[in-house]
Amino acid sequence: MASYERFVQIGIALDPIHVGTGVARIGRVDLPIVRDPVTQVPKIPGSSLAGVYRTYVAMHCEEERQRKQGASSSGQQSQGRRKPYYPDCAGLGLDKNRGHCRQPDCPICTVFGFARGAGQEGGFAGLAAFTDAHVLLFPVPTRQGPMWVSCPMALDMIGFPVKGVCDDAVYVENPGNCLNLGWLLLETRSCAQMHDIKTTFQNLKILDFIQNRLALVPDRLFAHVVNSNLEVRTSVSINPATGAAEERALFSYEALPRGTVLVWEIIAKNPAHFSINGQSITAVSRLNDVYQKAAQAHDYLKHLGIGGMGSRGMGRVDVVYESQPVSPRTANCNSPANQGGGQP
Amino acid sequence: MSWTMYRWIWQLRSPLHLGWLPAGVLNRTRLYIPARALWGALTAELAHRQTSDPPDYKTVGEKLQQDARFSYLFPAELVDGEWKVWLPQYRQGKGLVWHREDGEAELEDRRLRTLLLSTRPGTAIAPESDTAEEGTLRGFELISPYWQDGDGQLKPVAMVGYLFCKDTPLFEQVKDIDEIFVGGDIRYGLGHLQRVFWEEAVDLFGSTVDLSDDSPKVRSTKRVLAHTLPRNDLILLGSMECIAGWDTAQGGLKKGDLTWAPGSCAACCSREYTIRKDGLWEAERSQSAASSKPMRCPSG
Repeated sequence: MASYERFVQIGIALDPIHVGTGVARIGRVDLPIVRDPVTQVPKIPGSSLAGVYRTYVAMHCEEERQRKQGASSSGQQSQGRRKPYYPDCAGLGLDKNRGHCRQPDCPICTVFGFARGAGQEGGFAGLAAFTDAHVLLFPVPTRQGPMWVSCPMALDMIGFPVKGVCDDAVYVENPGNCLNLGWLLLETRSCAQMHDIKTTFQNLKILDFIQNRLALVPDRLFAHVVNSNLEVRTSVSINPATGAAEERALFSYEALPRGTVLVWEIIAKNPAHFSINGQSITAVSRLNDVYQKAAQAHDYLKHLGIGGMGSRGMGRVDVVYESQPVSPRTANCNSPANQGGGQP
Repeated sequence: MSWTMYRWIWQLRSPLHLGWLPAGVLNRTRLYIPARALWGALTAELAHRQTSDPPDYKTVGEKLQQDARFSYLFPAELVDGEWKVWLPQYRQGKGLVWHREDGEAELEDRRLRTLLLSTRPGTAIAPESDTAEEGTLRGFELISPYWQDGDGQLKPVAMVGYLFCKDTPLFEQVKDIDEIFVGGDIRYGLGHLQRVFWEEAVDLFGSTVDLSDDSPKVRSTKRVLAHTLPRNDLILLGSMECIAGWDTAQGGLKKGDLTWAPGSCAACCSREYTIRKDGLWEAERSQSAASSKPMRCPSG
């Protein structure tokens, strides 16, 4: 009996995405975004994803509850439920009166868990786990127009280890003159396996215009390329009395640009293996149910977004691929297409 | 029936948090995986695989304790294609230092922590206002899946230790598990480990092991590499820690044991230690140790 199953998710940023660190760093913008501490590539922490998914699924369930209540004159379908899903079952939920319902038939509290508050019994870790969302493809301006840049480390996350991307160069399908990735001018090299990589992206439902503008760089250059081409905005408060900029209210913030492709995983745990206060979980019964419940957030993610600056047009993500991991393959950018690079 | 010993290596596929004493709003992590945490993760995975009903954690966990033992797992780096583990040791005048298994390198504790650890801030969002909830800002200390050498090359991190098993069917079941989730906040993607190496072994981090007794015994080692129960004739240089934990099968908080922390070093040369069911080490009685005067810990 499987105890868990992993579901790969691919999302495309429809707006710039700002998931802030909450602190400033000298030499960078006032409000920097979260980065991986080692690679320095920006990412969205799993805890941010978990919170946003929870909120949106709670919104969805509440909409459904009210719709059913409205449709049924007797209100039979929601008679047993005393609390609304949203906002009660969203958020931290430790408040006794307005907190999580903590019931085994609640799709929110079972899938996303709940903590033990003061004077409350027990807690539940939740059936869904969320990995960090990593940058899979990053849009960069070049003199040939935008190119979507990736690296072996990023491709490894979708089960496609690529070898041979080692030199200080940009690997493209049709090499020619040097190519600038933002300010960085690099020689172009041919990647013999680019066709396989494109096929993989096609299977992952990544849009054609991205597939046709792929470039690979070594892992060590990827962070430089990404961090040099983040969107940085400057804002200032306007004094309503004067209509001019407020003194000392200028600040800058950075974001992953629109068009960034992100990859993350949702790990669903088997509901049969868990119980809440000694009662079996009834809200979901199979691994796929857990995932499907979490995936109800995707429509909301596309419209309400993730991270900060949502009122400034930031944060929307379109989840274009929702499935299990693809089979591992290996590509070697130094070998011709007919000499392996295919299955290991 | 005697024990068989295996060295296994688990590579970090995500950051890892192993709860330790907090520092203000920072939830700190240990740099090693205690045997009890590993036992818990494997018990859960084995129990889940055996049934589609509510798992019998108690039976599976007891069977695992009866027929298997675990060493602590310590961080390792890949050197010329080989995983080299970093082991703790308290030194007179220096405190806790870490030295690499091959003897080629040594680092102070704080230096190793800068290479291995990162922190991640977090706060809850109030659904009513969509803003940060008051009083929920906190930080998590994490073991990174890559060493932070800063030379531009990504060097993976793994956790290395040993499994002892005396039951072939149980061994086959454990061998089938090549991916586990261990430590805290695994629902936020932390604690994902993948087994990348597995081999029968004859010594435990260089110390000989007696595999013929009721429990495996680590022979002739100067320092302890697990939390170790104190006794009057055991004089160590190191630090002490009270180890407690929840035992839901027994219905509550497990009694805390005052123990010597991993890396504590015998003042009087080598001793023999039993690896207990709960993963703690217990020193065998030593006549010579009881009668000898305490000595400075060897610097090696």
